[in-house]
This record gives sequence, C-alpha cells and structure tokens, in this order.
Amino acid sequence: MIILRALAYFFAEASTSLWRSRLMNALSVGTIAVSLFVLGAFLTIASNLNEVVARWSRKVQVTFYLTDGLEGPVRESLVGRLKDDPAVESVEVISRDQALERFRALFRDLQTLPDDLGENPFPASVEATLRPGRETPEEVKRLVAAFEKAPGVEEVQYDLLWIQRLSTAIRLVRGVGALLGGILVLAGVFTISNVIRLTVYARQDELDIMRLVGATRAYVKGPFVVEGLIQGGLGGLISVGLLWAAFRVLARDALAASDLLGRAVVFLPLDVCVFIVAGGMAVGVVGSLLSLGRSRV
Amino acid sequence: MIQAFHVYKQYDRESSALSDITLHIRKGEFCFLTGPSGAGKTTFLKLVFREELPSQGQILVGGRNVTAIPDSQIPELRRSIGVVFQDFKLLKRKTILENVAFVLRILSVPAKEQRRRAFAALKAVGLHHKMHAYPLQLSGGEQQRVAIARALINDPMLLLADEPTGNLDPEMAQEIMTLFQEVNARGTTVVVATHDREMIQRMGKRVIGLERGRVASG
Repeated sequence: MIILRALAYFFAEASTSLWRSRLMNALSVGTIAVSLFVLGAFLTIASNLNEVVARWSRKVQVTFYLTDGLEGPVRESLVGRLKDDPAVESVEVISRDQALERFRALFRDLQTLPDDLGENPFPASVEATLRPGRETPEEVKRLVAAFEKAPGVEEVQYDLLWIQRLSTAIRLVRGVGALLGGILVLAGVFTISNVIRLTVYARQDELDIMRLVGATRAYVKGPFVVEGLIQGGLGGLISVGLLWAAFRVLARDALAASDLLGRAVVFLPLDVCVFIVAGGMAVGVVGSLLSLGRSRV
Repeated sequence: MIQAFHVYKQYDRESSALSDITLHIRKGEFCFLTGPSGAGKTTFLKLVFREELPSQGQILVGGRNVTAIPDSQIPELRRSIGVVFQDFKLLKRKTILENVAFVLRILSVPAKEQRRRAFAALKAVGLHHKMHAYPLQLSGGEQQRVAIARALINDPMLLLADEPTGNLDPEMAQEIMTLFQEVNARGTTVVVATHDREMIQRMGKRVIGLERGRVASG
C-alpha cells in the first residue's frame, strides 16, 4: 500500500512537471521517437527480407533447361540420374506447356505475350530440389558441374547465389540499422538526461526542502525517474505509430512486388513493437538516472 | 537532548567555523543560540540535523550519535526534528495545506489523514482559514507560521529555528516566539538561533553565546 501511494505520488508529480515544461519535454519525446523510428524501420526492412530469404532457402532448386524436342530415354536417364544423386530430394519435369501456364499465372499483365510471339517460347525443364541440410553452395556447384554437360541439357540456372547475396544484404541492413539506431538512442539518452537535469536545476530549492523535511533519496528521485519513463514510453509509442503509418503507405506500393516474393509484406511482430516501447522506457529511465547521478539530489 | 563533545567544523584550511564546541541542551529545554553573523550558529544547527558532518567530535541527538549514522538513516532523523528557517523554505507551487501535508505525504500517510492533520497543524498556528492560499500570497509572518506548522506536524522531539524572526517586524516576531513557547510547553525541546538581543532579554531563557566558532557563554 505504501509503495502504491509512493508510485501514485511519483506519477502525479511527473505528469505535472511534464505538462509544466511541455515544449522541452516534447523535444525529448521527439528525439526518442525519431531514434526508435529509424531503428524500427531498419528492423522492418530486415525482417521482411529475412522472410523472403527463409522462403526461398526452404526450397533451393537447380533448374536444368532441356534442348528443344528432347523426349524419351535421354530425358528419363537425366531424371533417373538426378534422382539417384545423394543431394537431391525430388525431381520435377516441367513441360513447355506447363512453363507457359506458370508464366501466365505469374504475370497476368503479360498474358497475351506468348500469343503475340506466335509460338510458345518456353523450354521444357527439369527442376531438382535439394535435400534440407545439403543446400550449400558447394553442393549446388557440384551438381551443376556434374550435369551441365549431360546430354539434353541446354542451360542450368540456380538461385543459391542470389540467396547468399541477399543474406549478406540483410546482414548489412541490420548492421547499419543497429549502428544508426544505436547512435540515435544514445542521442535520446543524452537529450532526456539534459532536459531532466534542467528540470532538476529549476527545482533545486524544492528538492532541498524535500530532503530537509526527511524525504528519502528514492522519494526525491522517484518523480524524475518516472518522468524519464513516461517520456521514453511516449517516444516509443509514437515511433511505433509512425512506423505503422509509414508501413501502410509504403506497403501499398510494395504489395505488387510481394506477389513475386510469395507473400504479403509484413509489419513488425507484436513482441518487437513491445520491445521498442520498452526500449524507449529504458532509455528514459537511464537518461534520468544519469542526470540525477550528476546533480545534487 | 543535544550533547556536543569537542566539535570542530572546518570548511577550508585557513578558518574554522566551529572550534571545540562542548555543550549540553536538556530535554524539554528552551534555549537561544546567539552571536554575531559568522559565529557558527547556522553551522551548529546544520550539524544537529545532519546537513553537515563535523570535522572532529561527536554530537548526540536524543541519545543517538548523529555523526555516526549511515546516510540511509538521515531521513528518519530529520523526521524527528522540526526545522524552521529564516527564508521559510516553503514549496511555492503548492498551497500551504499541501506544504504542511507534504511531510506526511513522504511518509505515505493516507491522503485523508494528511489533510486532517495538516488542517489541525495550520489551525494551531491560526492559518487554517487560508489553507488554499499559496505561500507568496501570505505575509512573511504568515509564511513563517506555515513553516512552523510543517515543522511540528510530526510531533518532533526537537525544534530547531535558524533566525526565524530575521525577516519579520517585531510584532510578528513576538507572535512567533509565543508559538515556540507553546510548543515548548507541550514538551518539545526548542533551540532558536538568533542575534536579536532584545528578544532574547524579553524571553528570559537560557542563552548559549557563540563567538568566532567557540562557546563564549552559556
């Protein structure tokens, strides 16, 4: 009960103080919101790219395009040998007609293109899907080397290198995000700490009086810590709100592309949003503790 | 109530604020601490409520060695001592009722009881009818009475007053002294630091004279 009363006092004092110097406090909240927004934006981009990579890596395929008109035993022998390969999980034969169907399903706007050309331009192919655990660049290269000169194989295509490049890009995005976000979060800590220090200076008399009538250190500091907590939490909430708004606007454009990527673009999961708001609160508390540590409270 | 043994206080190397102070103020006593400006009156009071630590020597307050208590116990010590200052030290942004209740608030006393006791304390100094006023809306004498109400709300064993009438005209000063006498009559030990000789003579209480940091009389 006593702790509850103390907490109620801290929140009441903090809200009064926040409102009293609202412009300066808006500055702290804004700084925190911007830094967490940047961090969150990079996280959103990284998690979307990650999703794509995960989807693609689940099914590493090597596609062998076949010479035109290849039928019967040559093709059967190729399929058989691929099936026997220890790295291959399954093999699927795609005929020229099936390839055309796929194209039409994937690119609706270009549906008439094959008709305009007058004939089906797509070659037949054999798609080999790799076993989980063997989707390494080495395996893919070995498989390609083993089969690219095989009779009936016109051309080989594989997407593992792209996946690897994308993974590197994601690591980069995440790294840059963490770095930028980290720097901005430090700026947030600094701003909150300075704004609270100014408040402490402005209210030094009041704090002295509190100590003289027997207030404990915790009791004197409490309202300031709560002030930082509220500032940081508000900053976090605003940044999540801004992220959501920006996401809604940008995602509309990205949706067309997301058909290709295999699923809709996703926003940050709830736990990451909670983490951002909690992170803001932590930044606020650290900021205010820093300023209290340096002042005479 | 207050026992000081060979207390020294130095703020810098050249001069000392207090030198070899040894004195004893008994429980229930009313006494004045006097001397010219810079004699060490304020410093001595600060040592008693642990705003400062002596450079040497020991001070016992209510049998407790305040020079040896850990920082964490200072708030508890201060709650058992009422202190009144020349500049009142009231919270300007709070009403006088809130100012007085504040001492109870930091002890997490329920709000209703805070108000009841703060009202009673203001009534005792004759200011209950102005309880919603802010300190700056009151005269100096009234503000000092609020400060006294605040100092007394916890029924302290000891009341320290540092030049409590320094900013007041003689009439108001007398009013404040009368209040102190009433408090003393209820059993609280009262120590008033002042250089107002006239008032000291009028009151006819024990006088401890300080001069250049030493006990000169009393």
